[in-house]
Amino acid sequence: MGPELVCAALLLAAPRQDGDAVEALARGDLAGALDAAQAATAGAPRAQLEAEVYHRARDFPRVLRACREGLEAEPGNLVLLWRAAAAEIWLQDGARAAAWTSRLEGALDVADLDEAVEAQWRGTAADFRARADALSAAEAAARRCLERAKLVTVALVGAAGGGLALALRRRAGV
Amino acid sequence: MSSDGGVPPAADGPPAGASRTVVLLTLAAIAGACTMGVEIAAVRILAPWFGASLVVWTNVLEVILLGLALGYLIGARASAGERPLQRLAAALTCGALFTAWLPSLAGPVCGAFLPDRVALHDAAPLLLWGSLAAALTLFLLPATLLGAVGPLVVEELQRAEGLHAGTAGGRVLAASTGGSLVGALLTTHVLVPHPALGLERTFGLFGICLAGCAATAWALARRRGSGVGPALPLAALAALPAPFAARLETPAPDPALRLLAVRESPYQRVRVVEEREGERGLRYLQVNEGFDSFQSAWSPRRGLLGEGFYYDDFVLPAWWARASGDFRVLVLGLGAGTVHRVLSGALPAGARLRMVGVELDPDVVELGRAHFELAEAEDLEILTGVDGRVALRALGGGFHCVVLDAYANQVEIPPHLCTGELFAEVREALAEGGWLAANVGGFGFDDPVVEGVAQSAAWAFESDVLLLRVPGARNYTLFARRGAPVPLPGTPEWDVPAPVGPALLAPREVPGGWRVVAPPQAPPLSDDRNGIELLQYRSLSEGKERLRRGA
Repeated sequence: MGPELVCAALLLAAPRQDGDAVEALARGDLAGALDAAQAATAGAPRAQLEAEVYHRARDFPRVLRACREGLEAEPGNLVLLWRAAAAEIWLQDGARAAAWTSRLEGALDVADLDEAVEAQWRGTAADFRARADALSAAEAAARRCLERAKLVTVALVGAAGGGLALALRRRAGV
Repeated sequence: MSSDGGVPPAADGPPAGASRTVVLLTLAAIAGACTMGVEIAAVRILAPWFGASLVVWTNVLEVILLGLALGYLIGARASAGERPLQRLAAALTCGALFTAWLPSLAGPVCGAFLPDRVALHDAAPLLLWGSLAAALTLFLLPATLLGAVGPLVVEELQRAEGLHAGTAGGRVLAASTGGSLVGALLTTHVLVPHPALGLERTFGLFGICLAGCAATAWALARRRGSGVGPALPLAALAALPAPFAARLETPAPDPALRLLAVRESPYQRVRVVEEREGERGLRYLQVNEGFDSFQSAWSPRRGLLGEGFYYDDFVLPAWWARASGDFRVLVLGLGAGTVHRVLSGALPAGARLRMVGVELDPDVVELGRAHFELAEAEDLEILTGVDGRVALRALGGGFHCVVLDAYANQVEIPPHLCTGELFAEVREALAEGGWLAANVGGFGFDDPVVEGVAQSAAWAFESDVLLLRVPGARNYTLFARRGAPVPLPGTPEWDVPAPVGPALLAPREVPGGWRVVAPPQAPPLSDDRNGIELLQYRSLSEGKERLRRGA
């Protein structure tokens, strides 16, 4: 079972005040699902549905907002931590993705899960970790390139400017 | 020879003649041609990494001018010595060597200042500083050496013929500037786009021309009795193999992509890549491919491409209009034909596509024919080599939809294709109730480029325009309508049946999926006042933060 299915199972298995929202999600009616979720639920379940809606709309800043709100009520919510880490990876922020992945791993340490399900979650967390590391490495490479470019520019412009000044000075017979 | 201000020839020089003068002025002209050629081709060498935006052009011009200024002063100092001809030969030899082998240096140098496949939202500072550092490293020295040629030729003319400094200088400047003129024309229109030459051999050719000039300068020096050692002639020989041996290394495609074709067009470096794995088998056309972006996409199946592709949104006007019968579409920026491929497989039943596609770059269309199944047909007329705005005026009106997808290089909207006046011309080309559908790259509804283009369109259409965020992409699609309101979520006009409606509209119906932009008093982008390049730089600079903040 992949993480998408795990998430869907968790959504469906939760005690439902939000049947309309889940049905709307299944129909692909994202606006309807959002309205139903906001009308019927609160706390982490509502945040979970909102995160799901915005994830399907690929609006990752809103996914993160929903996750943060839900995690205030339920800090160890695996689905919200999972969605938050995935959103940061899409937004290509390695450091934040790594931080969410660490929280996910920490939550897994204390979660009471079936062994097979936990293995799936661990695999997902390891995948996130690898992708976050790759993003961080790319960001570091970009930073190094920028520093190198600034250094070379200052050195070469300085040398050329110095050469110009020197040549002008000598021409002027100073 | 000269009666206009001549002074007695230097006593120690050989007899001066018309042929010697012609030879020296020819050297100045060739050096001028090569300098200008290097300047123009320099941008093309950097473009695969950094694009060819105003920022990159400015950086290259700055570096070339700095090098020339330095070279003039060095040449002036060198000309005060006893042997200006030898120094001229030395400057030309070194210039020949560096110029000829520049393409081989470009890859490692540019790669040092721009990491592989950098994300677009991390690109802005690297575009500015990276292109400047690369231009300095690659072009400062050759420009300095070529800059030294002028003063040395002036000195030699003055000494040999006894001309006044002003007379000699004026003649050399005229020859050099004339050479620059020819160099610019040849580089742009003949050398770089020529299939047998391209960038590598163009630089090699410049190197060989300069080596020939260096050899001529030695010959003149020898005739004058000045000794020339073997080092310089041998060094100049090293320029000769460059046209065949120099290799321009460009950014590698993503490892998940396979390179199918690459071409140096008159406008840009273009390549076609294909996904190595997966069921989709997608191909992409990439232009100046330093960033993680593409300009056309091809799927084996006609119709909607799926999530992340803004092209799919261009079918919406036909569905919103409940089109039937002929549906006339004008595409400005056809690329390799993605819009045609999407629309031809996803219009409402009963609607017949009649498309005119305009693409400035003929090589892009050629690659489209070879790799994207692009072909003229009953439903598609292709115009190549024509600017979008010129075509818009020439084609007349009556279109049901005008699609604007005109990007130059990687992320640059051509300034004349985003102004209020352009959108007014689009409006005139539309039938009553007709649609403008445009692709705008950006990182949020408040992105300066997205806002600027949307407000300019709203001004021209004198009504609200609709922006849709493209899920899973950094694009926004803009819709405007002539003489009718655009549809909004929650209204009956908005609804579109399956499969198009649920696939394209459902993700936009939630908060952050769409926005309406009202017409301003004046267009922020006009033909007269157009800051699109600055807006694009701001867009990239603030992109990461805006992306995080969300719509």
